[in-house]
Amino acid sequence: MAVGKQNLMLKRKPRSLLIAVAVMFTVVGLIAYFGFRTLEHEVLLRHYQAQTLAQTRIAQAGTFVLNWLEQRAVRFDALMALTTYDDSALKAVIEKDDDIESVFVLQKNRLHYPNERQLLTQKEQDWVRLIMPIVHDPSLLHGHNIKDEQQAPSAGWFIVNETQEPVLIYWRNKGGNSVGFRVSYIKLLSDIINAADFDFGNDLLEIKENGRLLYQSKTFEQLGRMEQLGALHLPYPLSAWQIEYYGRPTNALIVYGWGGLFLLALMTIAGLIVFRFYREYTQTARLAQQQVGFVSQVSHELKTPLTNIRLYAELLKEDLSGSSEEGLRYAEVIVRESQRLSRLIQNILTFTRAPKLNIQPIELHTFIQKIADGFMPSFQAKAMSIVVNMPQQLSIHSDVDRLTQIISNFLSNAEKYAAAGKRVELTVDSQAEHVDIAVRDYGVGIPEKEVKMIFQPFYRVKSAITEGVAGTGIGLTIARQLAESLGGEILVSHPVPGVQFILRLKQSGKPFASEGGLK
Amino acid sequence: MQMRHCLAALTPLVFALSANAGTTPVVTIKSELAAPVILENTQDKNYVKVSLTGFSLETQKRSPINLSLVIDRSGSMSGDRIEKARDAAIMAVNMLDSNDTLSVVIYDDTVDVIVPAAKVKDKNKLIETIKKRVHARGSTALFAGISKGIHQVSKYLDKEQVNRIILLSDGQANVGPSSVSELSELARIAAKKGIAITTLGIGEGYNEDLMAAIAGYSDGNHAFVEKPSDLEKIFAKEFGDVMSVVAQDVEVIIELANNVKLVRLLGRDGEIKGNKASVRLNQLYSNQEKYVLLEVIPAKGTHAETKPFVEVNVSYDNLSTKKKDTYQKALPIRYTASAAEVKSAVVEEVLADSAIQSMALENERAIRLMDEGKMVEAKEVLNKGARSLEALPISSPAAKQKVQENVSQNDKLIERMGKEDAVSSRKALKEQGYNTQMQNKK
Repeated sequence: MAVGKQNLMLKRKPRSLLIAVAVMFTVVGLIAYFGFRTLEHEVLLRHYQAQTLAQTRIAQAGTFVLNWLEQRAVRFDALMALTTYDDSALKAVIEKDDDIESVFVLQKNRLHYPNERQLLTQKEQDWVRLIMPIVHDPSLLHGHNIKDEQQAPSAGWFIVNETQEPVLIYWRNKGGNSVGFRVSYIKLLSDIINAADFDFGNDLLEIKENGRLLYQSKTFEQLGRMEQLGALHLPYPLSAWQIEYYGRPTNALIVYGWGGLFLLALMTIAGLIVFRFYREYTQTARLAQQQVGFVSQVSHELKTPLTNIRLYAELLKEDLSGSSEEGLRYAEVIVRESQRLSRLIQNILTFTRAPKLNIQPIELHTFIQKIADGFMPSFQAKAMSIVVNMPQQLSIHSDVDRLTQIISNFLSNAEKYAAAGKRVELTVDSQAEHVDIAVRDYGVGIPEKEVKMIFQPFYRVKSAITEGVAGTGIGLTIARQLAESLGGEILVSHPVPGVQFILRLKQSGKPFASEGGLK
Repeated sequence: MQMRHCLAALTPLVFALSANAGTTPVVTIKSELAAPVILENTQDKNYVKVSLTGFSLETQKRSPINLSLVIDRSGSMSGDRIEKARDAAIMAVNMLDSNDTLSVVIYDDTVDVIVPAAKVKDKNKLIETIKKRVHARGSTALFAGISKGIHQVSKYLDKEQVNRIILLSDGQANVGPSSVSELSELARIAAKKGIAITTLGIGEGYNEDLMAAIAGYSDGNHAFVEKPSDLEKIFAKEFGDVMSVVAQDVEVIIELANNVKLVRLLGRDGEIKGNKASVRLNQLYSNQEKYVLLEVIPAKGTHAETKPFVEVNVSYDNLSTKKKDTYQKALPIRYTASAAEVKSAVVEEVLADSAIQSMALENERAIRLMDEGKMVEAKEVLNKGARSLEALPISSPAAKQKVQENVSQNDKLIERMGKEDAVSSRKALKEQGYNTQMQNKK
């Protein structure tokens, strides 16, 4: 039994290597692919996180700067509501308020303060010169603050960047008046520098005004190889302000490096596992091959003495014919059993070694009759009969030994498993295309679902009949392989009762699908 | 050692000045005309001088100081300079006491407040911090450094103490706002809060225009520290000033009578509106004279006529009484036909001061010439100024001495320009001009 199995594996050897390699590549490839995708995703995720963080922090710094303006706006609104617009009150405001540098009041589009008809200091004169465009066209003030087309805003910021020091004004319309406070731009810069206090660890935030660095959350020296992760231009009036955020670039190399190393380890392990399985498999196969070789050798050695035994047993049987009943019966048993043994050996040898294909014309009538005759004694011993049914003249081209073996296997099966049917029919039917050689028994038959299985090596139908009957389980497998080597096929039909195996051969065609080797 | 020496030098000075204890101390204010009597029907230039001299201070009674040391630690400060700056800072800690407030700001491209404004209690700890943290590196964020200094002083801002920032730098401002106008504006903001900024420029690398402007707009002192070893001496002098502040927030308003024409302010800058000039001084030091000098053209008058000429108003915070003192005085002008009478009435010191200030303005022109590379012309201007100052017809010893001091200074500068490079002499010239205009001790 082991012989066939090992032999079968033997035949799959080159394919198994291919499969092993394919499996290995697939597993390693999958690990590499998904691993790489995971790493890629991780890098992207880190990058994205870093950027989101940068945006949040930039926004935080932006709000911080704009808060300064907002706080001033709120305070100035209160101040504007409380202050009367006479000279002394306004002067006091300029004098006392740290944030306010100058004030103007427009009344009905005329400059009410500073009053040009009075004597002005140099500083006041400069101020008047600066705001002249606004006096001529007060709509300049809200040109930048329009949010609603219908309604001009009543308060807001205004900036002129033309002069050396930007002129930053907060203005409000009150009654028919427009009031404007000039806020010290330098004070704004100074306050931002003083109040800005961000600590973003290793990352760096910069507040720049017109490209000039105002604030840095960390010293430049530590900057090293940082990459800008985000930048923001503040809205009007601080459009010249920019907030930039720097951080260490997401270190893709580290992720890829370590991740790659991990993947490599994973792939190596997977590869080793596949290799180990393959090794185990091929080792068994090698062992089997050795065993098959051994069995084949032994069987071959057995063949010669067996042939002699058969020869002399048959000679003995002929000598004894007509004499002692007892002796003849013994000789018949010896002949029968030696025939059986030689078939068995032939099967094993066929299975393990492929004999050469020897095509020759065969006269079917004598050929079939000869086989039937060969089986007659054993059939008779089981009280079974063979009915041969065939046309007189029919010849085909085929291999005598192989054909003999196929038909013998069919008959041997019938003898072993369908003895209860008492009758076996051997029919040859010649059609236009093919020749069918059928062996039908009248036994219990084979369940249909098992028909496929019986051609597999070492499969034996489990039933009361097979119980206790010796068998290798390779008979039908060999029959089919031989049939295929002859360019034919084996069909199974289910007449009731029993089963019928049909060997279908091409009509006198020269069957040469293969060089005769078993696949 | 030098530090201790300086301290020793300061102490007797302060003692000597505490003579008039007992009476209410007030600032001595004098309003004078260079020529109180003038020839009839002439309109020669005249000068109004309002001088203010701080009263003597009792040793125990000096006003508390709110000081911020702003120290440049940019790369160029490394070596001798930062060491001396560190020593100076340590000296400052030693000179202050527990009534005083100190903060220390160091800056390069970023600013660190290494000692946040707080009363000077644990001197050893402060000195430790300074020793550990004041080291050179980086570039120069001057604007941010001063901003932080202002912020620190502002935390404990009090009109009754001396609020001051001392800036030590050897560099150009190269990070953040760096123009003279921007830093002047920042100094003005400090002045508005009553904080004076003293700027000490070390070596030849700093921008003297910038440093002088910062000091000027905030009414602090400005000094050129040529050698790092001079730093302690200059620091001690600065401390002498800081510790002897007797009045702050001084405002001098000079209003001219009708028909008197205001030409310009000499020395200190101020605000002019019509025929009214107002000048602010951040502080007055004990026994030091500061003055406001106004160049005017009088109206014509007839013999024996006396006309009202000018009205002077002064107000200041008296740190000793913690009250606001005011002073008011009207000066008339008299016309005569006698030249001798005019001559005898001339107040020579006022004349000398106005000549000195005019020369200081000419010296500014010399700096501009130096910038254009015209060294010979610059020297010529300096020389001409010195010679015309020398030729001033004065006889009083005090005025003569004053004049002679300035003449010899110009002469020294000319000599220096011959020997040294332009960079260093320009700084010396700027410093001298600054001190003349602000009437600082030289």
